[in-house]
Order: sequence, then C-alpha cells, then structure tokens
Amino acid sequence: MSVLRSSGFRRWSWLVIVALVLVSLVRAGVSDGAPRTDEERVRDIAATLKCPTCRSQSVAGSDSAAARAIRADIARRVADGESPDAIRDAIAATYGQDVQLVPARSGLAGLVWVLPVVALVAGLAGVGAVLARWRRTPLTHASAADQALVERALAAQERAAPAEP
Amino acid sequence: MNATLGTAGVVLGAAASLLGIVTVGLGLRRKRPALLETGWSYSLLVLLGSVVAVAAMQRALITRDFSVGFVHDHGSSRTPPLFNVATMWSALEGSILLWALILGGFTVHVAHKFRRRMDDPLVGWALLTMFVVCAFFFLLMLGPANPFTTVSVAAGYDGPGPNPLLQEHILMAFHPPMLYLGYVGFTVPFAFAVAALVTGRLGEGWLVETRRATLVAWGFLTVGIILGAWWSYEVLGWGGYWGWDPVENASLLPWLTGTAYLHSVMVQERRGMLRVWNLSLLCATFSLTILGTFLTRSGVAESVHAFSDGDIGIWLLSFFALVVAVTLGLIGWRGDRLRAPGRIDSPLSREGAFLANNVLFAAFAFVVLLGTVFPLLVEAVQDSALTVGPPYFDRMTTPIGLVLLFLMAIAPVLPWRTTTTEVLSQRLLWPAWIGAGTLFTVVAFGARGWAAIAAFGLGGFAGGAALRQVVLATRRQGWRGFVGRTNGGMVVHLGVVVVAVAIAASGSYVHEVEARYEPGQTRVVGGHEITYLDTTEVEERNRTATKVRVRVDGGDVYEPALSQYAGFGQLIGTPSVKTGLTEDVYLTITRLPEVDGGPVTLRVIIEPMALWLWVGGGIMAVGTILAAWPGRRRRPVDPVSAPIPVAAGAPRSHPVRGPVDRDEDDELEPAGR
Amino acid sequence: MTDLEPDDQPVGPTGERPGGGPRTALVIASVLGVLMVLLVGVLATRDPSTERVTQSPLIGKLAPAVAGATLDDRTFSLADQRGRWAIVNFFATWCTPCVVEHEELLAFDERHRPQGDAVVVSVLFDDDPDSARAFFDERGGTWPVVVDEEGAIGVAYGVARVPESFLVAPDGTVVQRLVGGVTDAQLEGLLDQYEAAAEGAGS
Repeated sequence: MSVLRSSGFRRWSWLVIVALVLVSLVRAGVSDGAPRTDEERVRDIAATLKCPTCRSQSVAGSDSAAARAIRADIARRVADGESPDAIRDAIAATYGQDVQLVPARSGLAGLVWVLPVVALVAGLAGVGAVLARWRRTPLTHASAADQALVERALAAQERAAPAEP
Repeated sequence: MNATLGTAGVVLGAAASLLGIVTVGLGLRRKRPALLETGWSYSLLVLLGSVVAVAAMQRALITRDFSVGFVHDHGSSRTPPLFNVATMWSALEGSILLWALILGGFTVHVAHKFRRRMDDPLVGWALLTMFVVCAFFFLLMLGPANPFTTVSVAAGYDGPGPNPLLQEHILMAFHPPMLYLGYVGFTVPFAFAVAALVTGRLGEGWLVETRRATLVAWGFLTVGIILGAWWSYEVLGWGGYWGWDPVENASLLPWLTGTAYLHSVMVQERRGMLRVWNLSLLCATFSLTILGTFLTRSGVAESVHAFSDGDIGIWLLSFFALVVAVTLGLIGWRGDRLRAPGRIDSPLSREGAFLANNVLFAAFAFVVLLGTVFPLLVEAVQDSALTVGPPYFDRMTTPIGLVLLFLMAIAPVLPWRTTTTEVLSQRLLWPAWIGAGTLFTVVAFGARGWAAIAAFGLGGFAGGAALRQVVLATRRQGWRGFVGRTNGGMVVHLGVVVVAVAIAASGSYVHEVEARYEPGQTRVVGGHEITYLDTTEVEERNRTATKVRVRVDGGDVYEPALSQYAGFGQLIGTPSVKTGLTEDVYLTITRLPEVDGGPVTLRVIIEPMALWLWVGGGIMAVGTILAAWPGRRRRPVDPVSAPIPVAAGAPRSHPVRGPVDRDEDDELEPAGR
Repeated sequence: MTDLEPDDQPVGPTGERPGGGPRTALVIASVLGVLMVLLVGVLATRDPSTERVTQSPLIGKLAPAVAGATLDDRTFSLADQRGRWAIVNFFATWCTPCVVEHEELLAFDERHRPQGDAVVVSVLFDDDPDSARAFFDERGGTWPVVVDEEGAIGVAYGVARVPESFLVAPDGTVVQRLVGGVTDAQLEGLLDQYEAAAEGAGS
C-alpha cells in the first residue's frame, strides 16, 4: 500500500495515463479517414433530410414511399460522385428548404448556431466576472447588527424547538 | 350518468381550488390562522374531485359508454383491457384529467406534510400557489378540454379506439403516468419557491423540506423519459429512441433545469449561496413544463406525438405567460435584496464544479429550447419555413454532454471551498486509470469517431470517480454507504455513465442494411444470419396484422409486422427486436410481398448496446430511490461550515440539535490527506 | 426532518453584496421578461402546423423532365408537349383519393384530347406496372402513364404523397402544385385563370 500511496508512484502513474490517452487519440486520429462505403454516405446524407410525409423523421429513418424514393435518388447521385451539399441542395430545390434538417449557417438561420455559443460565452463570462470580483474584495466581517440578528434568531429557535430526545 | 358524475368531479375540483385560493388568500391577507387551516380540507376536496372524475372516466371507458364525448372519440369495444385503461391518457382531454389527479395528490401531500404549520405564511403561499395551478387544470376541463361532453350515439356505435401507435406496446400504460408524476411533482418545489419569494424567506428550510418531493419528481421524470425513449424504440420502427421531436424536447427541458437545480441546491444547503438562482431554476422548470405542454398540445410544433388542437393552446400559453410574468416579477422585485452573502473561494472546489455544471445545463436547455421554437420564430420574421432537426441538436449537445461527463468525474472528489492539485491528483488517480484504460481498449478494438471514443473514455473516468465514492462510502458506513443523497447520487451517476456510453455506442456504430429476401433466403448482416421464413396474417381483436417470420442467427423466430387497425386508415409498422447484451438486431418490414410467396424487403438495423440505455435508466431510478431513502440528514440549521468529524461512522453530538448526519461526503476521505 | 419550526431567519436588507451589483436580478429579470413577451407574442400568432402548406419551390421554374417507358411500352417525354398545357399527375393504385380523382381526370382528358390544348400524363408512384395496367383497364383512360421505377421523377417534382399533380404551362414552366385529388372543374378553372392572366400580360 505504501508504495501505491507514494507521490513518486503517483507522478509516474499520471505520466502513463497521459501517455495512454495521447497514444489512443493519435491511433484513433491516424486511421480515422478510413474509406467509407457509398451506403454509409447515402445514410449520412439521408439522415440530414426530413422525410416529407412524416413528422420528425429523417429520410434515413422512414419507410414511406417518398423517403424510399429520395434514398434511391441520393444513392444515384452519390454513385455519380456529387458532393453531399450538392445533393442536399438538389433535394431541397424540389421539396423546399424545410426538408433540410440542418439549418443553414448563414443569414437568419445562422442565429440558431450562434446564439447558444453567445449565451454560453456570456454565462461563463458572467460567472468569471463574479469570481474575479470575489477574489478582489476581501471577506467582510459581520457587523454588530448582524451578530445581534443571529443571536435573536438562535434564541427564537431555542424557544420554538427544545432539544430533541 | 358517467358524464354527469365526471363533470361533478371536475366542478368539485374546480370549486375547491377556487375556494382554496380565496380562503387561503384571505387568511394570508388578514393573518387569520383559522382561514389558513382550511387549506387542508380544500386540498382533500380537490383530490376527491379528481378521483371522482378519473373514476367516472375509467368506468365510462370500461363500460364503453359512448355517450361520453371522450370515449366516443377515443374508446372502442375492440381495445384490449390494459390499453383501454391507458386510453385515458392517449388523448388530450384524458391526459389533462390524469394531470389533475396527480396534481390533486401532490396538493394533499403538501397539505398533509405541513398540516401542523398551516398558519405559517410560507406554507400558506405555497398551498395558494398549488391551488392556482389546480384551478387552472380543472378550468381547462370545464373549458377547452372537457372530457365529459355528452354526445348522442346511435345503437351499435363503436368508437375508433386510441391512436394505433399507442396500442402497440405495453409501455404506453406506464410511460405517461411516470412522466406526469415527474412534471407535476415539480409543482411542489415551485410552489415553495414562489412562497419563499413572496414572503422573502429565502433560507434553506423550505428547500430541505421539499427536497424529497423534488427528488421523487426528478426520478419519475427520468424514468418517464427513458420509458418514452424505449417506447419509441419498440414502436416507431426507425431504429432510434430519441428523435429530438418537440414532445421529447418538452420532457427533456424540465429535466435539464431540474437536474441543474438538484446540483446547485447543494451549494445553497452547504454554503447558503445561489438562493435566487435556485429559485429561478425551479420557476424555469415549472414554466418549461407548461411551455412544453403548450408546444405539443396546441399543434404549433410539428411532432409525431402531438395530439389535438382547438383553443387549448391559447389557454396554456396564457398560463405560461402568467407564470413567467409572476415569477420574473417576483425575482426582479425580491431577487437583489435576498441574495445571500457568501462567496466561492476557488473555482477548483465542489461549489465551483456545481457552478460550471449549472452553466452547462442551462446552455443545454437553451440549445434544446431554441432549436424547438426557432422554426416558429423564423417563420414569424420571414416567409419561408425552416427545420431544425436532429443533426443540429446532436452537434450542439454532444460537446456539452462530454464536458458534463468530465465534470461528473471531477466534481464528486472535489472538496468544498478549495483544493490543491495534490489532493486532486491523489483522488483522481484511479478514476483516471479507468478512463484512460477504457479509451485505450476501445481504440485498440477499433472504435473510431472522436465523440464516441471521448464518451467512452470520459465515461470510464466519471464511472471510476462515482465507483470510488461508493466504495469509500460503503467501506466506512456499511450499507448506509448506498443511501442518502450523496451516495444515492453516485449510483445515479453510474446510471448516467451507462446511458451516455450506450448513447455514444448506439449512435455512432449503428449499422443498417435494407434488402430483398426470397422465402428461405438467408443474408448476413453485421455478423447476424437473417433468414426470411414466411408471411402470415393474424386477426386480432383490434387489428389485422401481417407478420413476417424471420429467423435470426438460426435461433428464435422474430415477427416484425404491419398492422391495420380497425377505424384507422394507415398501416402501422411494428418492429421486432432481438435484444442482446452487446447489440440488438432490429427488424422492420419495408415492403410486404406483392404476391404470396414473393420476396419481402426487410430493413435490418444492428444497434449496439441499446439494452444498456434501459439498464442505465434503471440504475438511475434505483439511485434516486437510494438518494431519497429516509435517513439521518444534516439539519438545515446546523452551521454549514462546521468542522467535520473524521472518526468513522461516529455521529457527533451537537450542542443543541442532537445527531448530525453524514450525508455529505467530504468526510469520506481518510484523515490526514 | 419534517415539522421543523419556521427556520428561515428574516433576511435583513443588507444592501450591497460582495458579489454582483445591487440590481443584477432586476436587470436580468427585465431582459428575460422582454424576451418572453416576444416569445409569447410569436407563439400566440402561429397557425397550427397542420394548416401550413408549403409552396413548391418549382413554381415558375422549368418543369423537371418526365420521360421514360409508359405502361403500353412506348416512350413519353414531357419536353415534346411544349405548346400545350400539361397535367403531370402522380398516383398509385392503392391510394383511395387517386381512384376518386381518376374519374375527374378522365372527364378532363376526354374533353381536351380532341382539342389538343392540354394533355394529361400520369406518373406511377411506388406501385407496380401490372396493378396499374389492371387499374386503367378497369377504369378507362388512354393517356400516357410513365413508370417511375425508382421514384426519380417523383423526387424531381418533390412529391410527398399521392395523389399530387402539377400544372405545367405551354412554355414548360410549372405554374401550380395541387396536393390531393384534383377535379375536372378545378383544372378548367385554373386553365382559364392562367390563360386570362397570360392574355392580360400579353396585351
């Protein structure tokens, strides 16, 4: 046990842990670009388009006739080597922009991407500002009036609830 | 008869809530304890009204009394018994009735729990708030969502029955009541939050007293959401369990703010801080419940589950506006005066971690809310429609979820106030080993995709931290190491880790193949042998099902089906799932044979680890029960930063207040570190 | 832990807090209040989603190609039909409104076929040719029926569910999308309306 608790052992442990994580990430990163099949590409594109006859299902998830036809269309276009964005745009050009499940990144629609980031940054900044202020201002001590308030409250408490058995 | 009885119940409930408001209100204004005492009786009357109404509805459903409007529209003599009971919550009016019943129950719970303190203005205001919410739901049933309208029916009339999708799976009998118990349960802490704001008593007392109600509500909400996901998986047939549908989002939103509250409330109990923030979270949770109900019940948002329209939308929206106006008004009026003195000394402390947790949960909730209402907002500004779909939610919430997992690993081992890297490196060592080991193992076995492997690694880290806490606690406290909020909370954390890993695995490594099968033909999909045997047609009481018999891996036969429900036009697909420890084989029919003995088109989805979602949900439920387990607790009036005893298991005697519990866990750490 | 005495001490108005300005809650509540008013306003003015009909993006554009083998093993191309009106009708034999609609198309086709000013072309959507042949044998109709094996034409037109029809002007542009079954009178009305508009614009 004492070996396991020693700080030397701990330092080495952390080094090994960091090394493990780095090796894994590099290993995963290197082979991440594995060639994907057309089938996977079709599925990925279909998952970003809304099935026009269903509610809240993607073309990938639905078995409706329209969804099947669109999947077949995507498969043809993928085989022709069209880019995913071009395929999505082509489908949206006939079914309407609202079949795009991924909102555009520009224009009014882009707000849906930007606002959460703005909100998160603002939230973190707010918390950071408060923390920083706390750091700067020294702890204040209770005033005599505060002390008296506490005394009164404690006394009231005693009266209200005698010690429990 | 049933309609009359039911209406009588609704009228009784409405009258009791309104009288309750008036009486308790007068009592509060004139400071008459006698009037306040009557709140208890009114709460009983509210519950009685809802029980009578629900009983009348169930009786009408069971006896197929089609003269009751709701039964006329949604009942049927063909519906099997269990689903017939569940028919009540399969459509709008009945679900409001269920809501009212649960609300009545919680109102009585509050009145009963505080029956000896009815003259306390805090309790009075809380009860008044509960009565206002009750009144709203009973009035809904007298107005736009009346389940007990009477219709004249010809002899031999038979109703259509509930929506076919809701007759497909037994989970439908349990998921909505669980969810509603969660939604409605949050009314209790909300009522106390309003009362605290009105009376200006923002101390910690009411928090502790509503703690168990909050925990129970949260547990039910969690179970309700998980059961809903399971139902989608078993019924909807697209192979997923969460589609970021407005209805699903509506249940997730209060869960997110509620979860944030459960964490930040500990900061308030321990350090007396974040009072206004906690109140705001409770108010947000309740408001989001109402907003979610509006979004899904008014028909403004497109959704698979949305039912009904009519004028209920404007009622719900008005109520939402009222709740928001009142709570924001109260917070704006009181908030600044009531802030507690206190400070967080270091971001690297338990309270610092909870603060970060809250920022992230708030951001998560914001993303979900924004994504849900954004199409409506855009439509109001410009002419063209726009959709915000699952890919958006996945992309935005994945990073937040991963950071939350990271926090889950760090926060439980962090001491309050401040810490040193020395302490951290010592306490996090084994969790980090588990995390790094998991990461290395999954990558070695070929897992790819940064989000998924990050989820596995961080899941291992967080799971390790939670395990460490449980092990330390049980080593010191025996079986008590599992109960109490902190210990139960760690069990919940383990459940969350299981769910997170299952989500990452099933989302990232799903594999599906759609193909034609001749009778007797076998194809191999993701290592599973799929053999199409034949197609049979089965007449059931409420439907005609065409079942395709498929043998999986040479073993059991599974029967995905397409069903035609009497009274409904469209065909309903029923998937069939071979559940496994590591992966599910999920079968749906894409195309039936056009001629007898012809080929069938099947879609086979290999869904890794789907089972663990439900298991994780179960662990979360068990953890919640353990956390809510009655036991010795810290007294709310104990000094929050008193020196902590280090002697194992020995309760310290307090000069005034008797035993102090060991609910918090800093003391888990052996002395001298 | 139940039945505690009132435990909350009245919080004195201590004024300034070490953290945060004195009006933070008020300011944040006000900002949120404004946002909520906007949100409620927007939500209150939305129509139910079921009543929202999306315009086809094809309106005013050149009609996508309708070309391919027909039921009677000839080939058809919409491009050859320039100079007259065309009703591009998507249907399936398993769809009930399509059956109802068939009578109406029959009447329309019988009137315009001799005049040669409008042509009906049906596209078989998610159905097999044999059923369609039987369907036409039983119910009549001699206009071309294009077999859309993979649904490519349907996708090009953005067909969600049958029946769905598109009115194509003599210049080859799509002028109207008709979701659900059409009627003879409705088609006549549209032709008259568009012809009057074209004449108005031309003169």
